[in-house]
Amino acid sequence: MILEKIPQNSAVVVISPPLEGKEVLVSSSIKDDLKEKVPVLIISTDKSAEDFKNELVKEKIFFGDAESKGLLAFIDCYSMHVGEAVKNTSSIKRVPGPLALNEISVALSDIEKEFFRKSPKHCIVFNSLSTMLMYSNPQAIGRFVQVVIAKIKKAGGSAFFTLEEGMHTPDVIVMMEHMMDYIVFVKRENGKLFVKAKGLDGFEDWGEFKA
Amino acid sequence: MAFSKEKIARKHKLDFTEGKKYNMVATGVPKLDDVLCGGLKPQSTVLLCSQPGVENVEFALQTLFNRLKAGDHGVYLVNNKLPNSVKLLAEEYGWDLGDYQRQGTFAFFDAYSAMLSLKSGTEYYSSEPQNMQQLSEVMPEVLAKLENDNIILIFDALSTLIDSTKNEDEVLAGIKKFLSEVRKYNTISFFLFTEWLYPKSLTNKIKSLFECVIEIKALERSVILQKYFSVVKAPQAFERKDIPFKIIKPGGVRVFIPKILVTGPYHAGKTSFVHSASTKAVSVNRLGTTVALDHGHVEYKGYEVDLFGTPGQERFDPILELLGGESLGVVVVIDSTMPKDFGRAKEMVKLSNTVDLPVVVVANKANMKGALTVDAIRKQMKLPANVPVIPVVAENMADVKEGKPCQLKSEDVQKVFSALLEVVV
Repeated sequence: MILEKIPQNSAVVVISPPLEGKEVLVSSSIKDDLKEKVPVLIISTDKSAEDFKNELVKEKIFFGDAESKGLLAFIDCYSMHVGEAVKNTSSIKRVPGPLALNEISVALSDIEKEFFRKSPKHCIVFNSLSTMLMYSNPQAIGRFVQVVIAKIKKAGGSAFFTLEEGMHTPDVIVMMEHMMDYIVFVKRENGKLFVKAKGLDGFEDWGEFKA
Repeated sequence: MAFSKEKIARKHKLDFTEGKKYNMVATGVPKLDDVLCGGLKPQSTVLLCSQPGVENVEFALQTLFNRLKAGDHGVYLVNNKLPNSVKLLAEEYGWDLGDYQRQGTFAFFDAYSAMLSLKSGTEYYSSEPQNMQQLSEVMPEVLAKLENDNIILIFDALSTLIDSTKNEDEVLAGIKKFLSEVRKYNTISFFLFTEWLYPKSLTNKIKSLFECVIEIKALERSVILQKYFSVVKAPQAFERKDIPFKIIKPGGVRVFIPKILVTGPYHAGKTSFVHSASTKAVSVNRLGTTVALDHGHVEYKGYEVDLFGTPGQERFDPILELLGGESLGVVVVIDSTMPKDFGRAKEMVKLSNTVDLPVVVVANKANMKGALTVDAIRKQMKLPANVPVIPVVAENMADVKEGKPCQLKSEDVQKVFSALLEVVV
């Protein structure tokens, strides 16, 4: 299993064309972590926290009381951005949008502090980098990602970033890859999901992914 | 806490005579006005420079709201979120900007919608938010409409502006022009800036454009442990020191002292002090005496302080060092009628490993028969002149019961806090 082979405290970017299965891989990682009582933070830039939760349920990931126990949290960068008058909840922090980089980093620091008290390891899922790259200069997002990865690793966490293939120029992809420890590619063929990973022994070639 | 300009001047050998010429504009951010010797100079330009992961918007919003309340006018330029989200954030802190918007004394300037090709819902907006030249031309029109003796202008955020352009020199020249244009309209400008791994040379150039620079940083190990702010540049004399803070909702920026140790001999009144001083407190007691610790949280004039009280009995001495760890100051509670225990008080400070920390001595039971005067206590304890000794008494002697914490007179407790914050912050 590819996810089991990725060492703790790593930064990983998961790349695939839109709707080609990144979500399945990421959801599978969330499921594994929650099962092990590892806290998970989902930073959502292209859908609300509530929609993300619905999708997890659709993927048959039932998180039970993880939210109330502080093991599952969200930073919702979407709802306020589209003008919804939403408020924070105990597990959802709303930030004003994908360009409010400092607000995102403040929310991330606050939640990591809570996670750090609960567990020596945690996982941050950043879905997706493509939305941020759409709105800002890639250099700026590069600086942001570099800072965020350093913070996450310092706190003992692992980071998963998702990136849409075909939406960005090759130099942007190379810049993002450069900051990561592992690059996972996902594709769908004949209804099956295939993955390969740069930097991970035994997974350099395409192989079928089974959740 | 009383602002002591003279004290700061003495301590730092500063000359405040220049500052006296101006009517300083108070920000209302606790302690910031103290270190700035009264506040900001009119028409000053301020860079709120924060480390990633540390808030800066709240400092600007708190100042804006305080100034609007004081009758000043304001404009908030926002280029990284919708103006309404700033309004909602302000509401979470208890700052309703809507009233001032309706009165026409405050306005948003939307420099965000155009970046997303959206139609702005505000009266003032820019069609080219990355173009500082255009902003320098449009903003004066807004300021002319808002005309006032003081206008607070917030630019949220300079880092977003820099991130959105490729030519940094052009941006710097644009900011310079913008600042010189807007100051003609009695503005105090706050620029929000997050230091996202920009080249040091760029950050230095940015800082050089502003008269006042306030750095907002964090002490970070694996995670952020403590946030603090400090003034590093100002046109007037200022005190250079790190002020610990936290952000609370509602409320905003509060000076935060995470740990003050309260220690002293058995039966001196430590638990009474912690409970009398705190907005909420809890004690681990058995048979009327503290057996583990007292903990209290104090909210006092924009300050937030956590008190940790030690047991006084010698059998608990092994935990004193543990309780004293990471304290920022010490309150030593003594019984004014029991001079034989004063040596024990000093011993407890030593055992808790807090000898070098700022200290305030609380002389409890000061109105009881046999109580020593402040001078006598100072002499007997061999306390230096800079250690405050504050006499305190019970609010109502009739309510004092053996084995129960009693309520101390609130004005006495306030005096202790004023003295404590003076020595700690």
